[in-house]
Amino acid sequence: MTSVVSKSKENFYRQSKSKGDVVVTEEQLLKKEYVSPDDVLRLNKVTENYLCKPEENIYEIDFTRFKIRDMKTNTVLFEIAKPTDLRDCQESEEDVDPNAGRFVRYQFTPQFLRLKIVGATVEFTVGKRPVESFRMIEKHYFRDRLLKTFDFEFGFCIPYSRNTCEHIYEFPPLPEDLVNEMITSPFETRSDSFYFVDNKLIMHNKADYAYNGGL
Amino acid sequence: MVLLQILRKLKQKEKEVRILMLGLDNAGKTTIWKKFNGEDINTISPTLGFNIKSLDHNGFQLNIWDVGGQKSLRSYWRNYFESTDGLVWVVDSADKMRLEDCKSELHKLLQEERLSGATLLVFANKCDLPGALSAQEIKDALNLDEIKTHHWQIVWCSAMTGENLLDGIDWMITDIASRIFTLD
Amino acid sequence: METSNPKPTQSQLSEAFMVEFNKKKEELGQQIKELKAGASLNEHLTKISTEIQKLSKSLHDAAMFLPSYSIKIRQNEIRDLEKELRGREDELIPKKRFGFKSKAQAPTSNDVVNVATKESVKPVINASALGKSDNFFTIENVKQGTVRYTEDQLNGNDVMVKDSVDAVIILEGGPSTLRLANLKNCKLLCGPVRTSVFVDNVQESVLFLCCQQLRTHSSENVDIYLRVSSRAIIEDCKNIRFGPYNWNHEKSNDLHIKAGIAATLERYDAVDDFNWLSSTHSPNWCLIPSEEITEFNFS
Repeated sequence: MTSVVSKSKENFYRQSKSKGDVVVTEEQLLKKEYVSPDDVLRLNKVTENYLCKPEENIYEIDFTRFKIRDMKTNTVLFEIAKPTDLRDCQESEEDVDPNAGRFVRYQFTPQFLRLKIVGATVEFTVGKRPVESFRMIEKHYFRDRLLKTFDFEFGFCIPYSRNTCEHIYEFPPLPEDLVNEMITSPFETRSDSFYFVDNKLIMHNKADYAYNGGL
Repeated sequence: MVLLQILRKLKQKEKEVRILMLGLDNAGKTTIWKKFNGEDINTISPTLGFNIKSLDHNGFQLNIWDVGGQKSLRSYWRNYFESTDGLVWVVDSADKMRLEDCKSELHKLLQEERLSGATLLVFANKCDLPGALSAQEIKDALNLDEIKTHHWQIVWCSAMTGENLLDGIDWMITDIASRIFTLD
Repeated sequence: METSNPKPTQSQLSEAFMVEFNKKKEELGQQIKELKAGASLNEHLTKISTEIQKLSKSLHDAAMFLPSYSIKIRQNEIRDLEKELRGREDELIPKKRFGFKSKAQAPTSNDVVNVATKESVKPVINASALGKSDNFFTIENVKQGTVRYTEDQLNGNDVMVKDSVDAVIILEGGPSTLRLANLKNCKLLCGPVRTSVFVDNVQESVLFLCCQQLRTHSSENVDIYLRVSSRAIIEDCKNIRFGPYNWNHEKSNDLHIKAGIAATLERYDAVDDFNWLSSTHSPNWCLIPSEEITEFNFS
């Protein structure tokens, strides 16, 4: 596989300039024993595969809720939550797809791309081990364009805790033609969410997005 | 988004401001945290962990941490001290029976080296309850006048109605900002 | 247009307010200018600062009839006054504002003194909650027998029940919050509580509680019949049992509505034990077996 990625054409929109950092490819990372935050920050497109296995999540970190709201009107646009007692019923479902729950598909109306300020909430629970330093890096792309990177250090998590984080941010201003393309190309907007404990990748979730709802 | 407007006070030097909200259980920390931007406050469960709000604006980030205050969680508080710019201490103004507890927990925190640079805002919450002490009485009960090591202010508020919450945070951000910007 | 309406119009109110506001604002501006160093400086600073707070409060009160752009302008004017006051304060008590050399360093002893001076000047932003303490409803030292309080007595109050033994306590309804402390062998019935219930050191008792939040501390052998809209918690507790809160009473619906809790809500088994942070069930609480469930009854 020849995956020499040229950086030059990537610098369109809000591409975080990696200060001369060398871009890495997914193939290179898959060969590594473990993936670090620095590694994924240097990725310049959405990955095709998950960069770690579900069982690497030895901390039993479990995402139990996602919510997106429009801060201007304070309306919840999207919310999914696992039932709180899922823990109990999980035991019985042995042959469940190990990648289920690692992927979310969002369907929005075009208005979503016109929002100014959005609040995105995640809720997660932690298992019996205390987590010393928990970090999340989320990268959003349209096709191969990086739209936004969110890098957040949660730090310590209490054993058996239930935690939430709402990230409130202004939507990156996108040019009109790009917005139109995003609307007419459902699920070509995609994101990778990487979760690290002590700088080792332990979870990798994906999502894709359509903005043509109601059209 | 009033909080974002407050963020405009921040200038170049500090890209990230970290505010830590602590206090005894039942003080109203999560209610305050949610009320900041108008979330539903009717079904809040006692916090078993932390809640974070992270606001991004013009390249600045304001992170507000609300960590559970139950007795069994307090020993974990120290894990959240690092790089704290502002400490918000939330007091249930109507909880006269635990004021001693409240005082000793607060003064313990103030001795923490990792919090030594932090601005202290005391929210005298639930002041709208009929049995509540006034902010002046809370100030005396918590011995705030003794604090010489931190910039501090006490502000009465009601997390239920939202009164004074933004004024308090506004004071705190101003104080943090002024401290940072006068660095030579 | 000077008409003599019995009820003043918004614009009349707004005009009258502006006259007062401007007058006060100018007075304060003048007072700030006239501030002088000296023994009574602190006192003057405090006084002016309090006056500014009052002005701000009056603006807050006037918000219902002032147009919103006008409120914004007034708020800025108040802020300017505060700024002027702070500026003047800095001039007169020099070199004390920025005590910290860097974020991570503790203040030097010199700065500490200055910070202290400044703090002592700062008035407390105060609530007028003082004097209302009469409404803080305390029920205490009930030994045996039954006591009963009606909705009219409790409505919207912060209710505390403490230091009681062998008693039946009936709270028909409507407290804003409820705190229970040091009860032994009691039966307590309470109508819907608008916010939270806080239970501390209750032994061998039965409680009927309906609320937004329930925290139970340091209690043992207590049956709690519960309707709660969030997760209940226990801490330092043993043998706490939970069952459903059922209440059929003519005022029941009304009180539920006032408390913002659905009378149909069946939620009593979502309990977190903060001493048992584990995925296995806590040994400190369980559900009341159906054959032992008793009814909520006022009579």
